[in-house]
Order: sequence, then C-alpha cells, then structure tokens
Amino acid sequence: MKQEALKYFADIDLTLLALVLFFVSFAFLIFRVYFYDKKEKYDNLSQIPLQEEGSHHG
Amino acid sequence: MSEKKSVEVRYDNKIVIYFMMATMIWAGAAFLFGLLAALQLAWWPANMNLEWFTFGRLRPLHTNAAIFAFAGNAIFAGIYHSTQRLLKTRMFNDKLSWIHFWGWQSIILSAAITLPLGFSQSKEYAELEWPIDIAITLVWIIFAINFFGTLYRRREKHIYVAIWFYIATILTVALLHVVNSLEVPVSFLQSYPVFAGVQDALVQWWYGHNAVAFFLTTPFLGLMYYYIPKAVNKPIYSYRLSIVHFWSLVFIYIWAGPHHLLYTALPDWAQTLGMIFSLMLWAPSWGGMINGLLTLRGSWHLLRTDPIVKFLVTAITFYGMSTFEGPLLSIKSVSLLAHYSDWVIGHVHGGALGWNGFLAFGMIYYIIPKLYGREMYSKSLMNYHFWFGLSGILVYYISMLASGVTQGLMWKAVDESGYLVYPDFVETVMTIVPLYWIRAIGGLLYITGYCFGVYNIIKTVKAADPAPADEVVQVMVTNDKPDRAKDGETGHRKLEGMVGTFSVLSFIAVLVGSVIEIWPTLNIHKYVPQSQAVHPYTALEQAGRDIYVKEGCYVCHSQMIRKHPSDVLRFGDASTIGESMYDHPFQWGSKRTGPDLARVGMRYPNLWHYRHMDDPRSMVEKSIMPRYKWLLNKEVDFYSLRKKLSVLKMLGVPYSDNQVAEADRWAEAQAEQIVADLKAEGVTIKKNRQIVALIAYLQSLGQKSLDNEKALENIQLAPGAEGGQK
Repeated sequence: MKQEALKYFADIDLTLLALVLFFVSFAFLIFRVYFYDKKEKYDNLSQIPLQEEGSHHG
Repeated sequence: MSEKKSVEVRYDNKIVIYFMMATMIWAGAAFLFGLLAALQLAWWPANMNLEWFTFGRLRPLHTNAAIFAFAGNAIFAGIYHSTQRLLKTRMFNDKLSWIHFWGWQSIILSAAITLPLGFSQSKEYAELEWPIDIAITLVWIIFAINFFGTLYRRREKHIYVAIWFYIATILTVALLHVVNSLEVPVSFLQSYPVFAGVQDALVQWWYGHNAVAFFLTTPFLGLMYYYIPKAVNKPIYSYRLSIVHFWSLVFIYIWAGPHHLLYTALPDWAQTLGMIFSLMLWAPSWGGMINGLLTLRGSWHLLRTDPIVKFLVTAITFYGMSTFEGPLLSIKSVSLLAHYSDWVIGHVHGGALGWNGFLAFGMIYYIIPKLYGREMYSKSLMNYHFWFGLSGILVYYISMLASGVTQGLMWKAVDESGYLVYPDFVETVMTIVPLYWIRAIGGLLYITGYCFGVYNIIKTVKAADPAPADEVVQVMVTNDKPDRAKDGETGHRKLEGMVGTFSVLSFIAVLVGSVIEIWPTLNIHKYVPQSQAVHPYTALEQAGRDIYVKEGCYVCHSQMIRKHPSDVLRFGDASTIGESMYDHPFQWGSKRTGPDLARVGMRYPNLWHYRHMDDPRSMVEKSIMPRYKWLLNKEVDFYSLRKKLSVLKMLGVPYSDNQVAEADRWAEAQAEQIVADLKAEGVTIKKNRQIVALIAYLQSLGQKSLDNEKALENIQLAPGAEGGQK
C-alpha cells in the first residue's frame, strides 16, 4: 500500500529543495549577523525595551 | 541628519487591564475544568451521568479554555502593553482594540456554551463549529489591522525582536486557522471538513502542532524578549542570537506536525520529515532558552529576592525542558512507547502550566504595579503562588510521566511465545488509576497557587487608586519616516526598519514548509488501490458517526492501529489509508484512555454495545468510561440525513443520487434490523434512538472493505438499490 501510494509522489524532490533553501538562508543569515554586521549596532537595538522615558498618568 | 525631538504619547492602559483580568478569570475556569476532568479519570462517577459534563465534552472545553481563553488573553495583554512601549505610540485604533477584546470574550463564551452541548468538530483544539470559526477569523483580522496599523504609525524605526515574534504569530495563526477550518455547513451548528482521512489528519496536525508553536510559543517568546530585560533591567543576552533564533524557529516549526502521526497510515516520507524537523527544533529552541536565561548573567541573586524573576526564569526553564522533550518524543522509537499515553499529557502540561502559565503570571505581576502605581499587596503571597504552582506542575508531570511509561510498556509487553502479556486493556488502565489521583492533587496544588495570586491581585487593585485609562509619556523620536530603512543601513538592521518586507519574508518562511508537506498528501486518495478501497458509510452509520463525533469519543479512543506488532497483536491488522478515505472528519485520535476502535466492528454483538453504552461496568467490570444513558432515549433526525449525505457527496463521498434522496428510508431500514436483533435478545427500543445509530457505526468500523458481505448487504438496504428495498 505504502509503496503503491509513494509511486505516485512526483513531488518528493520538493523537500530537498526546501532543505537547500533553508541551509542557504541559514548560512547567509549567520554570515551577515555574526561576521558582516557590526556587533555594536545590534547592542544598541537590544536597548530598545530599556529606553522608556519618565511617565505620568493622565 | 535626523533630528531628535520630544513627543507626548498616551498609552492605552485600560485595554491591557481588561485583557489581564480576562486572563485571570478564564484561567480559573480552565484550571477547574481540568481538575474535574482529572477527577473523572480517577473516579468515573465524577462524570455525574450528565451529558454536558462527560469527559468527552469536558476535555475539549478544558483545552480550549486553557489555550484560547487563558493563554490567549495573556498574549493579548502582553502584546497590547509591550507593543505600545516598543513602538512608542498608542495602539492604532481604540475601537478596534475594544472590538478585539469583546469579540474574543464572546468567542470564548460561545465555546463554553456549545462544547458542553456537544457541538463539536472533534478536531483537537479546533473543535468549534463553523459560525464560531468565522467569528474567530473576523476578530483575528481586526486584531491584525490594529497591530499592523500600530506598526505603521510607530515612532521607533527599528522593530524590536519581540515584535517579530508577534508578527509571525498573527500571520501564521491566520493561515493555520483558515486552512484547518475549511468546512461545509450542514446546519446552523454542524459542518463537515472538506478534507478526509489522511489529508484531514495531516492538515489537522499541521494546525494542531503549530497552534502550540504559533499560539503558545512564538507570542510567549516575544513576551519573554520584552519582560525578561525589563524585569532584570538588562538588555537581552545576545540580540544577534535572537535573530538566528527567530528565523530558524519560524522556518522549522511549521514542518513538525507529522510527528503526531508516526507509524500511522500517513506516508512514511511525511512521518520522517516531521521527525527530522522536530529534531532540528532542538537548536533554535535551546538557543532562545539560553538567550533568555543568560540575560540574568550577574543578576542571578534576583532569583532569591524577586518573585517576578522567579516566575519568568522558571517559565524559561520549562520552555527548555518542554522543547527538549518534544523532539525526544518525536523520535519514532520513543513515540512508539509514548504516543497515546499520559506521557504526552504530562509533556503538554509541563509546557502549558510551566512555560505559558508562569510566564503569564510573571508578566501580570510585572505589569500591575506599573499600571496601578503601587507595589503588589504581598510579596509573600507571590512566593506562595510560585511554590504551590511549581509543586503542582512537578507532581502533575512526574505522575503523568510515570503513568505514560508504565502503560506504554504494558501495551508493548510480549511474552516469549509471542502473546501479549497484558491482553486485557482495562488491566493497563487499572494500573495507572492511582497516578490519576496524584495528577489531580498536582492540579489542586496549582489551583491553590492561582488562588493566592487572585487574592493578591484583588488586594493590590483595591488598595490602589483606580488605574487611569491612559498613561502619558514623553518619548524621544527622530523626524525620519519610521517605515523606511535609513540610507547606509545594511543587513538585518535594515530589514528591521521595513515592516512590510519583514512580514512577507516571515510568511514565506512558514508557507514553504506548509505547502511542501501538505500538497503531495492532498492527492493521495486518487491513488488508493482498489484492494484498499472501502464502501462509504450507510446513512445510519453516518448518523451514528455524527453522534460519535458529538460525544468527543476521540479524546479516549483512537481509530488508528499503528504498523507495529504490539498494536497489531492487540487490535488487528494495521490501519490503511483507504479505510478512512471517507472520514469527514478523521477520528484517528491521539490518546488511548480506552482501546483502539478501528476494528471493533462485529467483534461484539449489538446487545453488548447497547449494554456497554448504558452502563460500561455491566460489560467491562473495571471500566472507567462514563455512562451514556441518554443515547437510549434521544432521537436521531433521519430526515436530516438527506442534507448530510448530499454535503458528503459534494465533498467526494460516492453516494448515488438515490442514496441521498432516500437517506432517511435507508437509515430506517438498517435501524429496523438492529432493533429486531436487540428484540430477539430481550431489549425493546425504538428504531430512531441514537443508540441504534451508534451501534450501526461501531459495527461498521473495520468492516467496510468492498468484499465484505455485511457491508454490501447494508449498502443494498437503500431503497431502489439493486437487491435492496423497493
């Protein structure tokens, strides 16, 4: 049954395509974030939640 | 050069308070439903012989309340609170905020009414019927407009990591809900899903698993990335790690659904794909956990002194444990032991009570003092809440782990002659009943902690001045248009200034896995060989199936014999794709509190089923199944079967025009046979009683192959059929 059903799957190569897509994107992301962009830029962004100014209720 | 200027912003706090209060109220309901359900398993009389509170109806009420009412409101409270502050602007539109709030509460209330009444699609975490599904879609769209409108109006150029997780949540939940809710109405509160059998199973668990991923994980990760730095007053450990965490998680998570269907009739390639991607999830999940925990570097002493930090850090720890255990359970050999057992229930509760629950409580304890302008009433009560809650989770988890492993091993035990060591299913249930009592104690401890929390919050709010609806702040902003990347910025930093592009890329990331995994399976029924094809259900069997679905039998009984000797020895030949090809919805189930029913047809006489549904103990002495006495008195509307069969025919079930047009007479003819058989055994019952239809359905399970004489005989009962009634 399984083999008979599988015979008709012409799309299994799609999973390989997805795998390649993922690893290429992942490698590119790692390269950009860890080796290309400057750490200081990201350190500044990480401060966003801590930048709340003084408030008063209205 | 961009200039900075000070701008006054009015944050909407009232909506945050309302969502928080809804969180606490629905939490109580979800926990109490859970406790009652736990007691019903330990002591069946707790079902109270009331149809509205049997385990089959209560369990979906508990899960929906926990996920969509408790966790859902907590998510919205956190998103409305943190988004305004991270984007330095008020929510886009107050009216949309309130439509979102009251719309969501109405949906929850509708669920609380319809589920006990038995209006259910019997698809896990997607049980709600079609009018409520439409309402969910509309409310979600309103939420999305409000959220993306806020993003458009933001005064902070860069969208912080928490916001990315919210974006992924909003887009993906919309996709999951719409696709899994594709159904055709039969009546005001009944519908049939467009998918059947293996397709429905794959789409459902693509949805079900990603409901965990994108409703219980990504939004809570967003909350973690905001509230952990706020609670310890330090930036997240590594912003760069959070970028990798986000993209890896949204791409990988969407593939993992098939790990709920290992060893089933789902094609092996899809099972293996689900398992591999589940294992890959270890990396991003633990990357996120480590990022959260290491934010406390140098501040670990807060764990001793600050209850909020205790809640948040314990939540992250449970996230780590759950995301370690999840991939572990996805390994085929481990799944063989754990699936259908209480181990999975323990795993889910470790995540829900530990990760979602504690993060929600930590967040609420953080927000309330900020909004009301005073400290919590009692730090000791916060600590009591924490320790009772933690004890409760541990008692619950350990008892369910022990129960799952014990019963799983008993199911698999085969002696040297090749026979099952524990062939009597109920014997394996009796072994774990003491652990069900311990589980209920764990739940009670957790609820006790929750009560301390409620009391503490009430006292805090009462002692404070009424919280103002708005909070006015001065924020420093640049005069650049926010929704545009600055010249000279590159890479991910540039992307973070481009909301539209960012959202599209996130959506593509989840779409890739969804399409590749689901698309090939949508064609599979075309290729079911003739030897595996089956007859569609007769009109009466379909009526019985609707009752099976309505009563939520799937929460305790699977209809899927896995391709493994222990399953085959106990329940019969492994289930095939063909056998459920006309099942709208599929009823493969995910838990075996009772035995599998895929081949229960013709195993017992009609009288056995009649007595068993009336009083299970009369047939199986130690059974913990509730009584279904009302099935003996409630009627089936035979006439409605014409509409039901016509809808099923439209969905591809091969009924003839005559079978549809005469569905009521067809059902009556088969019912008369069952009634006559029961009468011969000394039971008198009318043919239009629900029990008769349910018996017809149960007797058909595993008996629908094309060469089955009884199945053919029942098909020929249709008026006008060849050899049938004229």
